[in-house]
This record gives sequence, C-alpha cells and structure tokens, in this order.
Amino acid sequence: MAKKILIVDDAQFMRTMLKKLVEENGYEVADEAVNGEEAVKKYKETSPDLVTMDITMPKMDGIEATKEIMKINPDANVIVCSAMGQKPMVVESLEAGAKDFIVKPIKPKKVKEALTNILG
Amino acid sequence: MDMEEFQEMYASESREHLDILNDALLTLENDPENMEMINESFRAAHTLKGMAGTMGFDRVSELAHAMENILDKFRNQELSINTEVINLLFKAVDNLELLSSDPDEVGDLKGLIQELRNYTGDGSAEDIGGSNIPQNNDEQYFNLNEDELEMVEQTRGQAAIIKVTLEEDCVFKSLRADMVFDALEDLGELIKANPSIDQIREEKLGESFQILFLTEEEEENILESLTNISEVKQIEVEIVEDVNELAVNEESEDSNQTADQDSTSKQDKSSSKTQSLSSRLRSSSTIKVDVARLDSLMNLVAELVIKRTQVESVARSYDLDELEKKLKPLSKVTTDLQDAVMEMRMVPISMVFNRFPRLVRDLAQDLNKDINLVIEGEETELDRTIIDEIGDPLVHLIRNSIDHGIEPPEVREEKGKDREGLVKLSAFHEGNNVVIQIEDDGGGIDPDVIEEKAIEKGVATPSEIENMSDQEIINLVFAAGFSTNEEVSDVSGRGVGMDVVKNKLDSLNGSIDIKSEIDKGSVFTMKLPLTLSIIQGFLTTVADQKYVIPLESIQEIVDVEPEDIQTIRQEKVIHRRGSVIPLISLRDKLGKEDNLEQQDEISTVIVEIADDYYGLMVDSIIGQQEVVIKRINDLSENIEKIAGGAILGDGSIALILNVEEITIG
Repeated sequence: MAKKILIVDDAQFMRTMLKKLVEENGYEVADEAVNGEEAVKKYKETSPDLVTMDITMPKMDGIEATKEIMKINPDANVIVCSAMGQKPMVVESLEAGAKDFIVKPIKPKKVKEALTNILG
Repeated sequence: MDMEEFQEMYASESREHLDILNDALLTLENDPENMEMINESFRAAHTLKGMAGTMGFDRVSELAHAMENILDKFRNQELSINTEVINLLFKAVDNLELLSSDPDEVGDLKGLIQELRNYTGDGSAEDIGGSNIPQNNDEQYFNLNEDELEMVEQTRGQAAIIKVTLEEDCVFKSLRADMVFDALEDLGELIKANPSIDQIREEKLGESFQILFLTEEEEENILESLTNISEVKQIEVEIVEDVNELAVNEESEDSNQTADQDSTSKQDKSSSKTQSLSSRLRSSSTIKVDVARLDSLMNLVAELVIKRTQVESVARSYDLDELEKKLKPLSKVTTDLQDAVMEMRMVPISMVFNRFPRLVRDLAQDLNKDINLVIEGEETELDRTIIDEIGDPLVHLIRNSIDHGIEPPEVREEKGKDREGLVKLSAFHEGNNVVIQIEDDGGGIDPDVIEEKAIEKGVATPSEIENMSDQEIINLVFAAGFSTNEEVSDVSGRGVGMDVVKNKLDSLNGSIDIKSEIDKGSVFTMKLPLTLSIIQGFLTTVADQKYVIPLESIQEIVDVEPEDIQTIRQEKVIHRRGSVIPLISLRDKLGKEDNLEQQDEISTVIVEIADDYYGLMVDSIIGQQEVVIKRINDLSENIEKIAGGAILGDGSIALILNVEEITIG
C-alpha cells in the first residue's frame, strides 16, 4: 500500500505542486491543510506517514503545528518547507522534531529526495 | 602531549611555507600588484604562526605574526610594497629558516620584530604582550588545541576523516552540516570540523566540509548513517588507523583550507598558481614517509633481486627449464616492485631549484649585477638521495656563473650585450640519466687564464699544458687544488672548489663537463643517474676478475682483431664509423699483466664519456645483468677506478667500473 502524505500549505499553488510531486513519486495524498490548526486536526484524522509542513501560515504556523504533531506522535515524519532567509525557523522546526526541510522555490528532485530518504 | 613526534612533520611543513614565502616575496618585489602572491604569502605567514604556536615555538610564532601583519596591510592596500620592506621581510624569512634549522644561531629578534612592527604601526608595549596570547584563542586558528590533541592522543582507537560534499544549490548548508553532525553523534566523537563548527554555523563553508571523527565504527556504518540526509552529494570516509599521526596532518590541511576561504571571502578566486602552491601542502592523498624507511625498503628489494638472480643462475646451471619458466613471472614482479620503489623515491628537482631565485637575487644585489634567472624542467624527477646531494654543487656552480661568468652591466654594454645577464638552469631526462645544465651568457672561461693559474698552483706543468687542447685546459678547473681561497671571492667564499663539485658527482656516479666560449658564455652540464642502488651493466672479465661496466655509458660491443689496431702518438686506436677511438686496456689500467699478444680477437666495450668514445679492452664478455651496488670501503689502491661492488647471482663479487675515471689519462 502506498504511503500517505499530508500536505500543509496556505497557498493553493504550492499544495497543487506538492500533490503532483507526491503522486509522481508513487505516494498517496492523505489530505491537504491550509494552516497549522487544520494540519494538526487532519493529522489526527488521517495518521499520515509523512507531513510536508509550510512554515509561514495564518492561525498556527508550521513550527507550532510541528510541535503539536510531535506531541501526538513523537515518531512523526515532518518535512518543513521554508523560504530562503527563514533559517532560524528551520532550525526551530528541526529542534521541534522535523526530520528534514525543503527550501522554496521547491525543486522536484529535492522533494523526491526528501520523501524517499524518509519513506524509502 | 609528546610534541617530539610532530617535530619532523612540523619541520617539513614549515619548510614548505617558508619556500612559499620566499617565492611570493620574490614575485612581489617585481610585481607589487600581484594580489595572488600577497594572499599567498599572507596565508603562509599566518599558517606558520599557527603551527609554531601549537608547537610552542614562540619566537617563530611571534616573528611570523609580525610578518603576517605587514602582509595583511599589503592585502588591504594600507601599505605599499617597496624594496626596503621586502628586504625586511626577507630578513624575517631568513631568521625563520634559521630558527627551524639552527635555533641557537638566532640572536635576539626583538629589534627585527620591532622593525616589522614599525611598518604596521603597532609597536606599542601592549602589542608586544598581546602577541604572546596563546594562538588557540583565536578562532581563525585551526590547529588542534591542547584538549583536542589530548583527546586524540588518548584514543587508541581509530579515527575517520569524513568529507561531506553538499549539492551546489543547497541553501542552508550549515543545517545540512548540523544534520550530519547529529547523525554521527551516536557513532563516535567529533574532534573538529573544517571549516570549524563555528564557521559552519555562520554559513561560512563551501560545498564541502571535513570532519575529524574518533570512532570505532566501520566505514560502511558511517556511510550508512549519513545516506539519508538530503542534499548531500557525496560522502568520503577515510579511516585513519594511527590517530596520532593525523593530528598534525589534519592541522596543516585545515589552515590551508581556511586560507582558501579567506581568499574566497575576499572575492579573490584562487587561480591555478595559488592552487599549485597550496596544493603542495595538501596532505589528504599523500603521506610523508621518512626517507630512511624508503631506504630500507629499497635495500630489501635489492636483496630480493640478488636472491632472484641466484635462483635463476641455479636454474640455468642445472638446466631446470621448468623452474626457469616459473621464474620468469617472478622476475617481472621483482622488476615492477623495484620500479615502484624507485618511483616512490623520486621527487621533482624543483625541491632544489626553488632555492635559487632567492640566491640569485641576493647575489645579483651584492655584486651589482643584473641577472635574469630562467628555470626550465623543474618538474624533472630524481631520486631523493641524489636531490639531497646535488644542492651544494649546484649552489656552487650558480655562484660561479654569477660571480665569475656574468660581467658587470657596464662591461656587458661595452661588449654589446644586454645589461642583464642570463643564467639558465635546466633539467631534463636523457636515457637513464638526468641532465642538469647551468648556462650563462657571460664572459666564458679563458683557457689562457686557466693555464696561467694552473701552472701557478702547480696543478699542471707548462710542458703538460703544451700538449693540451683548450678543452683539456678548461677541464683543469676540476683538478684538486685549482680553486683556492684566493680565487674564491666573498660571494663564492664557501671553500668549495670545483674539484669538490666533481668529487661529489663522481660519488653519485655522475659526471660534469664544461663547454665555454669566450664572451659567449659557459655551459656546465651535470649528468646524474636517475637512481642509485641498482644498475644495468655488462659483466666482463679481466684477469679472472669480474667487472661490471654500467650500461648507460656503453655504445656498442665489438671484437677487435689485432691487425685493426693502429698506433697514433703511442696510443692504440681503432677506426670505427669514421672516427678514431682510443683503446684502453683494462688489464693495464687495473694493474694486471697485459696479454694482448696472446689474443686473436679482443673483446672491446665502446663507451661514451662526455661526447668522446673509448674502447675498453677486456678478456671476455659475460653478458648484460642487473646488479645491486654495494658500497665498498677504501681498501683497494685502484679505488677511484671502481664505483662500487656488486653481488652476482652465483654469489660471487664483481666490481663496478668507474668508466669515467678509467678513461682519464
């Protein structure tokens, strides 16, 4: 059974692109979330194998969401998606338990690498 | 921490940095705008300071620091380069050299350091104190600090040098590096990273970084723990068995890389020249081996060759075809082994040549001459032992060329030559030899002057000289007693005469000859064997004793019939291919009874010495053989005619002829 991935991003464009990349690499999209709060809620509902987490989002940011998800499942696989210049946030996310990070603008190759490194 | 074992490494590393400084300063003197050289010299001084600091050589460290400050001012264009400051820097380099070779000879350096500091305007008392602060506190130093050294020393386990290369477009390289560090955490202990961890945190790293890591883990395990990190392009793990050796090696590599970074941060991309200088220091793919170890390996190989030849001769004398067949591959392996060991001992002649630009500069300055030194073929490789030996003879010849050869600028002008004299130093391979030439376009050697002096010194009598050709007269400069203190000026005043140069070359199985033309200049040509110890030779017998004639001097082997021998001016000669070849009876030369009359055909080995041919008459010729040279003590009265001894396959001894000596007079 294909591994399921939860895509979290407030931008439609990003979600669509990530969805395409996820599917191209043989994984399944568990669901999509547009902010941190929704991400945590959908994580509980779908128990995905991995989460791609945007950092800058309304309501609850990616760092907080990552922390919340780690509380639910300390072994959760979270990959944060940051913009250039967000290094401190990436550091914080990694400290919070994120396994890897992708820097926007995202490149298909890098997304694939990050996904396969964790999910195989 | 026992620093003794690092001493040697320190010595050779610092030697290299001093060479770089010398080279760079020379270039800067003529080309003050050369940013590359400024950076190069700065890094060399900087690294030297750090190395010396680690070793506790405070004087070196302090002097290098003062130099570094000046060079830094050059770099920032706060100080302009002139002869005065270059001379001062040269003086500092000289003292640094002396400090590493003969520290007791170095006087008080305070004056020099103060002079250097006057240039940088930091001569105040606090600064003098300040420079004594242990260098380890300075982040720019990448030497292992005491704690790290201790940590390395205490570990009896192995270490790994891990080189991680990130993808070019990796954005937060430092975070990837962090992920690498995290992944390694459970596998061992990170001693240090290069660039340093602090620099990495500040994103001050290129595409790759290196980690010195104490670990018991296998290479595979280390690799595996790192494979799942994104944006990592390549991981190279080098397991280092002997952790202690690594401490200093690592160190130099570090300082070097830091240096590289310095230059990139200054937007001064290192060009090929910079790289070639820096790459001399890079030690990741090379190890330094004590020459003595190579010597003993060489001796073992030599022994092996002897044993092989012995087995071969048994096989031959008992007609053991099968054994002979089986020995063929063995023979190939030993030959290859021999070649491999020889190759290990080969070093570029630039090791010696590098000293000369500075020497020539200083001489030219002292003697008020303009000299253009041209060096060619510095990549030519020679056996390390020979390299070590030819330094002094070369220095002498170059001094000679500049002191006696090249005329003062005014004289040159009168003669219609360039004011600037040319001294050309070149090296190249010729068969099994390396040829080194020192050529000048100076006044040449006047046979009349030599003649006069030779008679005056009692080297030759007027009647002897009467019969000599100009070339033979010129060759008298090699005679013992020809050069004396009187002749040697301040500059060449080292008490080394040309006879010493010649003896040195003889002892190396080499030769030297002079070609000189008045007002055109002189060429000194040294021929040296590529390597010592094992030579190809022709085995001959003379009065029941076996003699080896080195193959490289042999032109051909002929059987001479007694009626072909003519006598010209009481000398026996033969005509061969249009030239007259003097015959030399080895029996005669070696003090044995002559037997010419009893022979129908005389086996003759034609040799070429300094462009002349001679026929060496022997009793019989056994054949070509590889022989291992063994030194022999001064027992024989004909010792100068013998270059050494050799043990043959059957265990008997043969003497290797010094062909050159035999062909003289």
